[in-house]
Amino acid sequence: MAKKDLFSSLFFICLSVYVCWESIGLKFGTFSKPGSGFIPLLAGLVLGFLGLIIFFRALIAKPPRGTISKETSPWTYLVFTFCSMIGFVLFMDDLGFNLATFLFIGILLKIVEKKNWIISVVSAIGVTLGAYIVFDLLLKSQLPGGPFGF
Amino acid sequence: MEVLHNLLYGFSVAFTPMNLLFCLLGCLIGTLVGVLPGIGPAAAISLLLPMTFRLDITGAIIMLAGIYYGTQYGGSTTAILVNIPGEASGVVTCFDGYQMAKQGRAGAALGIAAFGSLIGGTLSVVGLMFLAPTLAEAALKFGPPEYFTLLIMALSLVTYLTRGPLIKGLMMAALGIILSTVGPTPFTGKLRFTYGLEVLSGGLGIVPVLMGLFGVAEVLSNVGQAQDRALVTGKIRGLLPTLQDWRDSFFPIIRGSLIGFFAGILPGFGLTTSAFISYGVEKKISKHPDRFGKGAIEGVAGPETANNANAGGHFVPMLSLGIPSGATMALLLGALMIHGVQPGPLLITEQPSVFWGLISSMYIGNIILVMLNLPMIPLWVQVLRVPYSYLFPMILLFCMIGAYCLNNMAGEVMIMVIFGGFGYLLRYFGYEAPPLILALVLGPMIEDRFKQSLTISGGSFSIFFTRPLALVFLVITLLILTLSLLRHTVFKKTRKD
Repeated sequence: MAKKDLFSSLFFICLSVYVCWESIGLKFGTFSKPGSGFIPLLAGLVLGFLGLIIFFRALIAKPPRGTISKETSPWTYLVFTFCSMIGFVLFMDDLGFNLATFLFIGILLKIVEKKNWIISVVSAIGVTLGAYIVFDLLLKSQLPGGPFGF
Repeated sequence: MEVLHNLLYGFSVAFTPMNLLFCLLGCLIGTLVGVLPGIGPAAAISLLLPMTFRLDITGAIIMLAGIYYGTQYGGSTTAILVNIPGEASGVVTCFDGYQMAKQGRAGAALGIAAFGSLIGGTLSVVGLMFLAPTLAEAALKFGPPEYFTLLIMALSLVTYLTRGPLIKGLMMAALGIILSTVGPTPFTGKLRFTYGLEVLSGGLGIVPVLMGLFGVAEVLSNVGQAQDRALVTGKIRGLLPTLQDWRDSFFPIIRGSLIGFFAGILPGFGLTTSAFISYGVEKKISKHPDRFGKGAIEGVAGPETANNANAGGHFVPMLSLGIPSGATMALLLGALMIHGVQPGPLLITEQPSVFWGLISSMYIGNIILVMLNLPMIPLWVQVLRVPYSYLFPMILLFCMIGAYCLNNMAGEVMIMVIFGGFGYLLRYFGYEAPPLILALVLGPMIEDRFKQSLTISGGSFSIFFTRPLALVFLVITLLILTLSLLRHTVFKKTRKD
């Protein structure tokens, strides 16, 4: 936990320094007439101060006694799922919603869930068709069309 | 008499065919979400919020509220039949509910959970109906300093009651305030932290952030993790509790209703806390405490009632003061704001159809849930058999479509995805999202009231100490923070011993 706290507090300290820096540029104003940077500066200072407490506490904390069970976090799948979502957003406008959906579902089922090709492709087609009927035809959502007209 | 008149007006709103349909839909989706482990009410509401944008505000809020209290009903099914809480608060029901199911009394457990929920839910709506207008009337006398200190008190209470350390909770609240400042400054309109991005020029959208922090982060937490579901098999019979069951459960249900409702009014007292309090009370006053954990029906009736009463109690500060008592209420508050309704003490007088329509729909919804839940239990059991591996890509897709449909902007989807990843990391590093959400939603109000107070006082902070009510709220805030520090120290000392 101490190691996790060390990393996370460092991140928040850096973030608070950045927020305070930006807030100073935004104009602090006076106490009777607070400016745009007033609240972000105060909140940034609080974040930084508390981050420092967590940081120093983590620094002086003794490592826990006994063996630490290794956390088995499915990081690869997680990062892959996250990147698939980013990819979906980036390519949705160019590929069109339907093609992007087909690829997104198919890739997740094939790679993250390790389904076979047939199940992955059939499920991806099914979900794409279902999403098209519900969101495009029924709800008339303005989802981006692709280069092939769908 | 006035209440009765208003209630009748509320029923005339809630009984329109469309609003009835929304209530039914909300209850149905809520139960489904409650049944499915791995997706809670906050996640479900954040995912479905964009779908309500085309509805009128009354229909939208009726449906979203239905999802909220519906999840409490659905959660009991999973807890009793699978020994996995469908949502967090169902964990207490697992203790005795699953044991009852193993002894062949799943029907009785499900039945008493449903009836207890109906009674608790209905009683809490009665309380809400009487308390909310009174509170709102009192709050009309609040000036900016009172409101500011009240908001700070609510925020500190939520921070205090989150599971992690207080410092981390306060950090999340500070981060939420920072995020709430993205976009135009109140009064002057000067842009802050927008970096020339169109998607940020109106402020950081609450909905994509919430969808990310709750919906996406929750799905990401479950990716690649095998879900062991030891489903109780066999036909479920005897859903109507026997006379003896009623005798054993009557007082636990009444006590659960009171505990749940009053805990629900206080910000931060979540559904899980009230269920635990109810379970603890029942065990403490029982003549046979040894039966608890081995299939005592009181252990199901009390907590399940408290859950639902708590859900009703949560609406009191949200509807009367505009202060959400937790993340889910913050979402509902966000929904009201998106529909152009300004939450606060004036909501009841300015939007009577929303307030009374919602109250009346909750009476109807609680009855719908019992009628829906008991006969449909076999269907929910089948739903539990759907593998999560097929559900999660669809949930993510649904999130992305929802975020895109907000303003037809890919930028909103990107914000949601980024906050999804950030939400996952927050969980991994032991930070709680509710204080962040609450601060993000309340941030503009806090900034507004703070600046107004300082302008009134000519820059003197004494305005927060010289006005009696503001001072009371500040003292309570200080007490909460001191109590939290003491709790932490005592807890550490006990652990050392």
